[in-house]
Amino acid sequence: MAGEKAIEIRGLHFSYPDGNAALCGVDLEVACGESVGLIGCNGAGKSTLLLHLNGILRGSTPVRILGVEVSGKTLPLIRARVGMIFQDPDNQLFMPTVADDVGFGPVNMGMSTEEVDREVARALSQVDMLGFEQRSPHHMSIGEKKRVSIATVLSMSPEILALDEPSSNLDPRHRRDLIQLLNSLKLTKIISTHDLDFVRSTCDRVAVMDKGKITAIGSAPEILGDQSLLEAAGIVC
Amino acid sequence: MNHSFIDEHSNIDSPLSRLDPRVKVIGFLLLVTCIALAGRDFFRAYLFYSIIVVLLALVSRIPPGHILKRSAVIAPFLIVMAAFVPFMPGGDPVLSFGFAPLEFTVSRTGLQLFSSLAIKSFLSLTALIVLTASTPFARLLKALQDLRVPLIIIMVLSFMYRYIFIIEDEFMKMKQARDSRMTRQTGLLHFRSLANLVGVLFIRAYERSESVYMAMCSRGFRGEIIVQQEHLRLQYQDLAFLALMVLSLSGIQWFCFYGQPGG
Repeated sequence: MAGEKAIEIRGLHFSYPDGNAALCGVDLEVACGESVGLIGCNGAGKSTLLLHLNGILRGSTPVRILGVEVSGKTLPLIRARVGMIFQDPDNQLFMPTVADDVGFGPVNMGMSTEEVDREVARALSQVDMLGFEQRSPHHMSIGEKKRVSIATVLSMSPEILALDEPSSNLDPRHRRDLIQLLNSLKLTKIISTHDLDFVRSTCDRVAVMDKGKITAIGSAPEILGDQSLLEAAGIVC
Repeated sequence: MNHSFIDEHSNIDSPLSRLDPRVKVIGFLLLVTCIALAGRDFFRAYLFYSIIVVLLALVSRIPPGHILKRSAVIAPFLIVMAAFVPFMPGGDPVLSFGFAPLEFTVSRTGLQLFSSLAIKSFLSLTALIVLTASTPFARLLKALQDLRVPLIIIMVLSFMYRYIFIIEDEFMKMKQARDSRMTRQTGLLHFRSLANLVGVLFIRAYERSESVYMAMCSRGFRGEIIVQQEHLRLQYQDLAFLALMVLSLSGIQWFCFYGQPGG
């Protein structure tokens, strides 16, 4: 399916119930297999935009994922295709053991016990966390929790990974390991962050968000090399 | 931050920790039921039950200090119970105080009732502590699920186990932040800021629950908990444990109720 659009967003507006307009006309297209970095300062609307990708939030115009419109009816399909990894692994990991957590998605997809076990083992081996099945997330380091968080969506075999601030709270070594892990996953990725080095090492294209809009989009070297653009968006000073 | 946790010693390898969790739950519940139903004047029965509880605790190889520390939580309840003893009716008066019309009498029956309640609750609690401390919590939940405990209760327990320490962490961090800025600890101000902390903690817990719910929805949760069937298999030692438990409990019942003249 070369050339197919993984993500298509046109003129998306969204306001929170308290009236705060978080997205004011976002246009974004991501091709299959591409890695896109979403950079912007706090409150620019990055996380809100990510939450639209799997229908947790729904704004003015529908989002299309792999050609399918996100609507109430297509939610189960969309959520199996878009793996959403939240910033705080303590929110991402909510089951008592790692195996239960990684198996949560596959169980909801209606897989049999054998299939679930197989997917759990596959996902944990992809993030190099085999042997942690019976551990409780409470007793793991933040780097380990991050890896398991990624496994919890890989077990659902998604086609798109959406990561919200993946490098926050990571020490340099765990951050480097995470970059290697993400680069080894051949999926469409959209990564929201304000860690510019992280974007440089993981993304082909970069979109700059400011005040609910995408103000610039281009190849990673082009955008990250444009000092005045980054300053205007408040990402560097 | 590190906390002690419910199943801190569950990785200790012991005959008790190797048992099937379902068998353990049934065996311990039988024991607790028998303790709860024992007549209040059968102190001999309590002696036997305490022997069983002590034996289980020894077999579990859990440090006795841990068990005793945990069972100390019962103390406040006992104090409340003790406060009501003077109001219990009937029996020979042992002690009375106050003046008519406000005269309180502590009767023999009242004291007996109190001591039997105290022994019962202490023994039951200690037995359950041995059970929970010797079983990894996730396995305990699987056992309850297999024993057809409603899923909603299991989910509540499971979330409690997952988040209680995170919430505690948040509280500790907020408290440290407050203490770092408090130069004087005057009574009223202290309590007011503590109340604020608790309030903020509630809001944070609520907001976290929203985030967790979003994470669940993202992974295909549609309001219905789907459980995976576990394949637990009973072993000989599981059946032996259950048989031993049933035999000794019915032995105690028989001995205390029929074995003694006038018992």
